[in-house]
Amino acid sequence: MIHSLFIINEAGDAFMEKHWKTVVSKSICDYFYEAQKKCVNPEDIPPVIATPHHYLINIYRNNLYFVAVLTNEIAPLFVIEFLHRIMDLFENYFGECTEKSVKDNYVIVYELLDEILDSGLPLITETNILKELIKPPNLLRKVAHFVTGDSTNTTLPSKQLSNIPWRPFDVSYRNNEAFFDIVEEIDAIIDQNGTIVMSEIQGYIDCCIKLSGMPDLTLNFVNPRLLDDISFHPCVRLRKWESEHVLSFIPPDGNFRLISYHIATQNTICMPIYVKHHIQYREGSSGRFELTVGPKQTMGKSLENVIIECTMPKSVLNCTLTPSQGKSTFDPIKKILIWNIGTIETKTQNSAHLPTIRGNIILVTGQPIPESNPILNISFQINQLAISGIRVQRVDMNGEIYKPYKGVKYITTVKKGRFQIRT
Amino acid sequence: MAVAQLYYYVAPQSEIQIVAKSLLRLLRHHREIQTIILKSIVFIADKHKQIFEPYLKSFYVHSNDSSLVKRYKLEILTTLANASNISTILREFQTYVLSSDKDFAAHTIHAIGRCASTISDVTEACLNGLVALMSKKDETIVAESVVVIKKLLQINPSQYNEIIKHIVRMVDKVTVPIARASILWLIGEYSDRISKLAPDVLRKMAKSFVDEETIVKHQILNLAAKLYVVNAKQTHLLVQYVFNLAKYDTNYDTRDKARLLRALLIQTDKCPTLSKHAKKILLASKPAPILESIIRDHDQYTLGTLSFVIGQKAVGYKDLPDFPLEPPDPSVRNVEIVTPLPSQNVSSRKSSTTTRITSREKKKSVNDENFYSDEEEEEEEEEEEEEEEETSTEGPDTDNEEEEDEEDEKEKTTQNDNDTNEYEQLDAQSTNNIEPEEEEKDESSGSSEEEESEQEEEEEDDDEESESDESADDEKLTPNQSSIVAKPSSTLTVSDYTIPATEKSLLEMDLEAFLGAPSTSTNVQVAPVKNNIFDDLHGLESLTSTSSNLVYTKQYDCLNRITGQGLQIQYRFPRTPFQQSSNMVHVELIFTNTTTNKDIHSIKFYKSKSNINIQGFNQIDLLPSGVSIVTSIGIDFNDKTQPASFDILYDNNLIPTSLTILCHVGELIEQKFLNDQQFNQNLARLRGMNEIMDSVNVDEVQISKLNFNTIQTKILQCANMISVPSTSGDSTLFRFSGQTISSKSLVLLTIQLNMTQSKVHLTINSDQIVLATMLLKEIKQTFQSIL
Repeated sequence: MIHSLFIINEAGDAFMEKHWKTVVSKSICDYFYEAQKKCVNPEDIPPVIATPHHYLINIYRNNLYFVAVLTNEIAPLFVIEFLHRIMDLFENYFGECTEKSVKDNYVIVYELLDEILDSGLPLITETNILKELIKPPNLLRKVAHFVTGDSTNTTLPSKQLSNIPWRPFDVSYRNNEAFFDIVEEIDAIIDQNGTIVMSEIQGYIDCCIKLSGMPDLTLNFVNPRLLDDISFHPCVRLRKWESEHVLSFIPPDGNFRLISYHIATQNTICMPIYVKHHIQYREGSSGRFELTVGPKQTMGKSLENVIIECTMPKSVLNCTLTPSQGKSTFDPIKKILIWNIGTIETKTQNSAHLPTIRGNIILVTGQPIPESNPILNISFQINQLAISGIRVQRVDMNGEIYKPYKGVKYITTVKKGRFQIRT
Repeated sequence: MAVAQLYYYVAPQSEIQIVAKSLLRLLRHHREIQTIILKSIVFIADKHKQIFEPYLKSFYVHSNDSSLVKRYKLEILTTLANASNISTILREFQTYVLSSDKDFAAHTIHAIGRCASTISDVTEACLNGLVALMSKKDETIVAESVVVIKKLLQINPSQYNEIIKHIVRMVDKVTVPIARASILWLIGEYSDRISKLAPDVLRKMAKSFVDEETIVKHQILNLAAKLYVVNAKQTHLLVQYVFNLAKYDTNYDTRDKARLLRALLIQTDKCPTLSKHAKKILLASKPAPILESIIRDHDQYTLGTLSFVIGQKAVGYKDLPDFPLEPPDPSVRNVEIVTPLPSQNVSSRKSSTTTRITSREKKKSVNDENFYSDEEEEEEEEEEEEEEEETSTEGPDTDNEEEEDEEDEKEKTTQNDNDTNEYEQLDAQSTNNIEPEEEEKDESSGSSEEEESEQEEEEEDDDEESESDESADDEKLTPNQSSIVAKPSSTLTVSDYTIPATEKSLLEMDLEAFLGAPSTSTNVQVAPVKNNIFDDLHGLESLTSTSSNLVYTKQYDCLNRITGQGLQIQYRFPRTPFQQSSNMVHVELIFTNTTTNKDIHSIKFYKSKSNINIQGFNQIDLLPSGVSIVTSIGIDFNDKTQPASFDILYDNNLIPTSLTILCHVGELIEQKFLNDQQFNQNLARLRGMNEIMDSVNVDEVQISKLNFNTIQTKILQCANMISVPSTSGDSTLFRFSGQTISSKSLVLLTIQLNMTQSKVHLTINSDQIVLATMLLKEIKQTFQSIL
């Protein structure tokens, strides 16, 4: 059971607190600050902190700490998941979850917190239902509220009565649309010599369904065998998947994640990008730095938003680099070099045209030469290509008579910091 | 996670495999979740290495993982290391060592040490690697490697003289206290191998003794003592000097230790026995330390709990109980059966078993005789079925017919009887195939027996299709019933159905409860999923009544084949509720192409002419010659007998053909089941203005023939009403109830036989008095005409 929740900003100020059972003094956060002080990096704070009478479970996201206070034994994963759920919810309501957005919407935040947790136990966390209970803020409502001074909800929520908990009864759209985004994230480590140390694909299908009535969708894949480790949205009929490898479901209304899957290390994947690097430190406080990036096996698709991030060793004072394409910046305090390349076209196969960055590194005089080369974090995006090769064959709809517009989009991307090249 | 927990504790070895994948998938989530999952994996991997081995690469460390995650991953990698995969892991470790996160690098070195100690094949390689690491510039790495090497050397000291020498030479460079202490310990321990170097090291150390950390001082003292034992001549003065320094040290422990050693070595007279064994004491062979994992001793807590994560007992934490040694009593798994209550209806059991057989025999003979309604009806229905099979039009009556068919089949099998008093009257509605002769013999009990069996059949059909929870209704089961009746379920539901005294609402609930399943299964094609239950209820009523529907077979012409140029349209009233709208009268149109060679195309509903609401039929694309198609329409007559007229188009004629459907007053009423109490209540409400009465004179012979069955037959001929079960037992009073389809107002009919005056008194109570008058007239006519 969650007793209280504190929201703490980067500066260590608990600007919001909410108590469900009994009021827990704010001083409980001191334990948290203590743990925070011990760690250089905010990510290093242990998620569970034990204090003499309470247990603190915290999460860190968007420069905010959510600290839940517990007194009893409870599965910590459950609490963590719940805290993340709160954050997701705030993001859903306010577009972003920052200190400002929370402060601007204190009323709704408290309303929400009251609704999703009752006496320390989670109650309703389904966004659809919550949105019906507590309307998300918009300008019109603000004005109406300002004029009438009344913000109470007069209509009774109906969606809780739906026999399919994730879908309301009375949905209707003029344009019936169903969009499926198949997003795949590459997770890889490549060593100095360019061999793949580790590679994984994490994929998910995000849907945006705007269909009237109670549609029943089926999604066929060309090659469903690729997916072996999947977690489904509760709406998917599991038996159908097991027997026919077909995703059959009554979709929730709006945006949701239909499945997320994981293609493990066993099957090697071809990397769509390669980096040639040449980094050298020389005695006398200087060094050479040279990188060349090129596309590889992208099936004619171009790489977009290519960004290379490189955390330099502490002894690096500055870098003077000139890229042939894009922009590069170096932050001398955090020692982070960012090279924003932009789009790399596959057509320019001529290696002379490949984007390169060249320049000198200036080291702090007197410091020893760094022993190891920095690690490059690369992120990019390829549209219209799912790197695992998964393809949707067809989408069918039963249960309703109209013809919906259906769209499938493939994106291959890299989650921040999950594609690393060791140099 | 909870599932993983269960698997961990309960699953057999072979099945725990499946946990791995899902746990790994969780690793992709937020950092906090990662941390806890990894911690659990550490724990599981410790016991079941094999399940995570295939996924080794998932635990490779990314440079931006949080430090806890890194540590756990390292731990897992170390745990999973075995002879086959050690090379890849070590290669991975080498890159980690170079990582800019020094803390992590140190942990890696520790991990390498653990690998080296557990897998003997690679010990050498590890040691070499570590020695190479010692030449690095970074102090923490060097120190860590020294410590690890020290531990490794202890395991197998004999072979590595070179390394020891190398380390000893490093003593000046290394500044981290724990590493220095380790080196000194090494020298002391293996001073016999580096006898030349050791005193020199001691000399250096003595010089810097004052500035050393406590831990180093202790080791210096140790070293001095050991050297003194081995090589007293060379080091005697030096040792005394060190001891003297220690004597005035600020640290309590150091002083203590110095005093102890001094007593042991130098002041031998104070404890002679001990000093004799000084050498043995100081240079005893020590057991090699076991390189422990960094995350240990959470074993006592249940996996995945808060206590497990924080490593201490949280409030409210409970240990998992041990597996019980004795299997628990299997009886707890049985669902408790509610003890049957004695039912309120006492059965007249004596007669039943004997009469059953006779009535059954009779029944056959009855069927053989050409009794007017039964045969006809069946023929008709068979026809219809054929028609419908051909056209595959979905009419709501298909299920009824199926029901009946099944019933007919069933009739040949032996039946179970269950007779209750209330029952007789309720059941009596399905009596069209009972002969008057039969009753003469058996009196009412025999006939009711018959009917009951029929009724049961119906119910059985329902029950067989439904696998609904009869157990819930167990309480209605009388013990003596269950002993005789082969299928208790059927009797159950029947008795359920006939509870007379309980409130209506309860009854309806029961009806819904046990009818929900059967009628959905039969109505599958017909009934849309929405508002199912409501339909089901009506479906039941129609179901039970259709077997007695005489009027159902009556067909009326609305377009003859001459005016329709070969298209003949007939209509009839199936007396089932119209599916799309409950307040419409269900009318079936039978389109027949009477031509010999011409197909009729695209018959479609055009529009309603009068202002009567009509639900049209779907377009019929093709009607081949000689074929009939049945379609359903719904007409809202609004409780009036005004004919409904509408237009249809066919064969691409532009001029619509108009049709007129005339509705008998009886068709405007649907059955509405009321029990005795409800009937009386409503009757009391509908007195005065809402009551009309009439009487019919009949002769004596005829009135003696009038019993429940004959009366019901007559009533059903002119109106779709259902009998009300009576509790009074008055054989001259018969009551029927129904409601108008459009406005759902009740129509109550009471028939009182006056034997002495040979009169039949008819009373109708209804809100719709106009309708009631017409109905009364019609009923009166029926009584007069047939009798």
